[in-house]
Amino acid sequence: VLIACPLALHGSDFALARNLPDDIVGTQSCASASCHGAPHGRVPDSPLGREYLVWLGSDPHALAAQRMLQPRFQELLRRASQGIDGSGDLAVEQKCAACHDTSQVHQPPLQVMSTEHSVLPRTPALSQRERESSPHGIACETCHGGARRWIAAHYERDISRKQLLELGMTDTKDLLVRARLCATCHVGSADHDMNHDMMAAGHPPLRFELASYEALIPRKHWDDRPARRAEADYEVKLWAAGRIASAEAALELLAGRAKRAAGTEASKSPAAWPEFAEANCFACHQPLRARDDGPRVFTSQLRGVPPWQTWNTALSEPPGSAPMQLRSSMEASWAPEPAEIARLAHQAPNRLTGSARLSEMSSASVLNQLKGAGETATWDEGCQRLAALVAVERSLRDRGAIDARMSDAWHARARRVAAQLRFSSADRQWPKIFTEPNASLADLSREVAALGDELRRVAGATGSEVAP
Amino acid sequence: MMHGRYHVPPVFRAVLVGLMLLSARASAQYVETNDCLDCHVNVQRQNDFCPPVAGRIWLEDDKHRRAFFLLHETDLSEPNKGAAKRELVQRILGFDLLDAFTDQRYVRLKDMADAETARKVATVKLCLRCHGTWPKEADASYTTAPPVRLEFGVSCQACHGPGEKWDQPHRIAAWRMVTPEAKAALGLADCRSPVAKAQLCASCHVGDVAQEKFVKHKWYAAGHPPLPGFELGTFQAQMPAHWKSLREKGPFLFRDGPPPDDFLVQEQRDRLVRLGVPADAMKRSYREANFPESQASGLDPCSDLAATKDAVIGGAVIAATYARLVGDYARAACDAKAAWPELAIYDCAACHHELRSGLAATSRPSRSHPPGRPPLAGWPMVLAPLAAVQTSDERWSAVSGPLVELERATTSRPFGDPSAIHAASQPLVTALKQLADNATNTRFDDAAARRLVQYLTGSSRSWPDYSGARQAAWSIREIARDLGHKEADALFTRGKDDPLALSLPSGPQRSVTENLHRWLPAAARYEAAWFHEELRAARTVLLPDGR
Repeated sequence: VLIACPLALHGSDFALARNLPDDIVGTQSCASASCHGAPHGRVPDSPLGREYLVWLGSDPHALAAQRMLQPRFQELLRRASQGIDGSGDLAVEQKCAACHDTSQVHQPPLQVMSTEHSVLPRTPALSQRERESSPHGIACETCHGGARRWIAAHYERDISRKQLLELGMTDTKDLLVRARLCATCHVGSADHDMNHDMMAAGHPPLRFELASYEALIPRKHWDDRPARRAEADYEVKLWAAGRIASAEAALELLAGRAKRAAGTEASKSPAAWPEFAEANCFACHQPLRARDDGPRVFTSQLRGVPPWQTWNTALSEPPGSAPMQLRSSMEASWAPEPAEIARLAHQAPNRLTGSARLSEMSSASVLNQLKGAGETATWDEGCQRLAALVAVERSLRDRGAIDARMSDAWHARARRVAAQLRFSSADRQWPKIFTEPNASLADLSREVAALGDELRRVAGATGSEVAP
Repeated sequence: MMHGRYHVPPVFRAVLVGLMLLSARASAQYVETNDCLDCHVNVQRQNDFCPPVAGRIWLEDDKHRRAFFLLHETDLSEPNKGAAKRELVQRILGFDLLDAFTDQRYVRLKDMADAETARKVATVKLCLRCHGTWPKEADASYTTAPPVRLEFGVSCQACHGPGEKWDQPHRIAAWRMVTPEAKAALGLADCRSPVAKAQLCASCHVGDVAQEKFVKHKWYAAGHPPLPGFELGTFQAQMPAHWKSLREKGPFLFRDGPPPDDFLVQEQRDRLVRLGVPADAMKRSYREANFPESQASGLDPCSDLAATKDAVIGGAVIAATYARLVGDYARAACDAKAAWPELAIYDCAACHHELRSGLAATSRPSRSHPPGRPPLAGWPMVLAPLAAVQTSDERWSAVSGPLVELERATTSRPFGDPSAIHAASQPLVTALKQLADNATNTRFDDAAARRLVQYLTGSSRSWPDYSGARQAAWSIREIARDLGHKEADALFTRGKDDPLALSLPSGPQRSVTENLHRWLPAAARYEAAWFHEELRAARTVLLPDGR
């Protein structure tokens, strides 16, 4: 079998040279012209057969490892490392690599050479040329699973999906599996922790929302049209899977942070506790104002301690009493008892209920949920409500309930709300709140509610089953 | 030295004065403010020491006099204003201000009969430490009625000390020849000492946990205006000052010695002794009483450039006051006497800044601590090095070591480790006080002023944050004025723009709260690069020959 696929052999050498875990065969193994690297597609308008090239050309994940070579990454690393001589810390870089360059994580530590005030303060684990020739940051196997055991089998005629999964392939067609995969980095996990220290060093905040993120990939290396045809509510399911996975990941991340703070888990550096990244950003990052004469910008909560974040839990807070208890414990004091938080965060997620909850969620249930939602207390939740409605609109469009003209009008309106909710220019990851006037959360909530009403009306008029 | 027997090293001198003052204040009674005003607003009673109508300046132009009126509105012609103020104070306190008083005129606090009333009264007292004349050490003698009627705000005796024992003697001209220590023993604060004066001002304008002068973050969050950066020279000039500097006064009676035919002086000395002044605390001149070492060291404090001296001494004292505040608070938190964390001890801009990602966009000063941990405020420390410029640069090393230690203790984990913060603050306070004392006994002449401008406008310093830059700009303008530059006020104002919001809302008509609309946006828009250019321009104007 290996002889039948010479590139795979080459890939395995490559992998060995990199000291990668045994299951990884390397992207080159997938990229042959007859497999996933065809210069022209087999089916018009579809990435089928040319997945590798589409990924390489238009998927930001392909550049994740190269990012680590850029001066701005190195400067951020230097800031986050706090080395006395201004050098980057290998341990911090390994933390970055957990998401940015999974091929590097298993590298044995190389000798660190630090030079003062240098933009590239240390010898990178891989030489620059080496990395540029293999820009395999978030590559095929990062998401699809290490291929050693299934690379030769996955194109065989009689192989079943179940068999492939048993061989180690990841079931990315299962939306919840996919969402959990994405959330590992885009939200975090016990081992993938992008915290407030990193953000203060310049890292952009993580604001994951699966459906929007997929829509942001200019050209996807897979074709979701068949799935959309098979499931009328595909977009809503995708959105819902993202919500469920985000909440789960947020809890796992919190549990990991709390455990490190409690000292129950070995850690090289003392954990930051309280971890400010767990809080609502705008609870603290408020503009100083002359008078406290109105609602605060982007949060109406004022309790003396910052409220726990809602970005990852809005509209998807896992059921049960543990999450509520967790929220009230997180908001009871500045530095809640980490052991207690770890316990509650561990109790809260229940991965087994995830798929059951996903099956309950639909356009109708989302519109219903949002109907009586009232005023949002946080900017995060306002954004998530809008994202939910955008997913519902897409679902309605997929099933033909909204024509192009109506859709354009609705989106024009949604963009206005998004502009109010968000950022004054495209290159900003944070809304400007000090130097620009901000809309009140009450006004924003009303606007979002009106957008929902419109979708409800459309669904009702076309006799779609989403009508409440 | 002739009076070597009484010579006290300056370090201990300041401590001694402080201790004497505390003990004197604890038992001393306050006199009627109107008694002070009887003389000090009276042109007939002016003399060669007091400027004309010092009291009138305080009474009519000084915001301190209206400090209590910030808590309740007296101008009944504007009911809306009164309602807004009342609502604001209620939001800060959590109850109506009147709840703590027995009467509508705010004359007397309630007895602490029940726990609820006791809590309210105690809270209001905290406000009055700065918004009235009610220092903590006066609590022993004054329990429900304030030492001075609240309507006088921060009145004469709030700064000069309780008048009971010095009211009579200070009316005698020979009092000028009494040592500050002896005056302090009678309760008079040594406002002529730049260190003591700076400590007094900073106790409210920066804060002092031990004296219960401390604005909690909870109060800020509820609407108490943020305390702005505080530069001693600028603030007292804009008060406006109701006194003259020794340089401005010129020669006055007894400054350099008693007049030769002074049979009256002996009579005055006798009266002073009868009023409780020890005979050996009376020297032969103001100079000898106040500056016993200056002759030996060849200094003439009477000719010092006053604003420059205040900028330098104030810089070190303000830094020391802030370090002590932080240390004292951390200590109280360790002893479980105070809540932790208390956000008010950190740099406001640590959280209250525009959020940005990436590199070019960073608006926060980068210091030697992990990013993402609230550091201490930078502005109280930025002018402290001036005292080292004035003495000798190596003295700064005694400060810089402990300063790094304190920064480390504050950022080793989010909000820092209170016991480490307290431990680190102690040597820093000592070193800064030492620096201030050392700088006091140096020459403040034109050459010194130019050296300070050279340092402040030099390229060795960077001014990454707004509040620090404003401190620098303020002090440069004060020093420029001392150097006789008529255009000093125009520095850093870019025409009428005043992008740093350097002008203060001085005078009774201008409100601090309304001024926030000017300086908070100014803080949000501050650009270090622009300020760097302004400094270069200021250097060209102030040091045309480069020196």
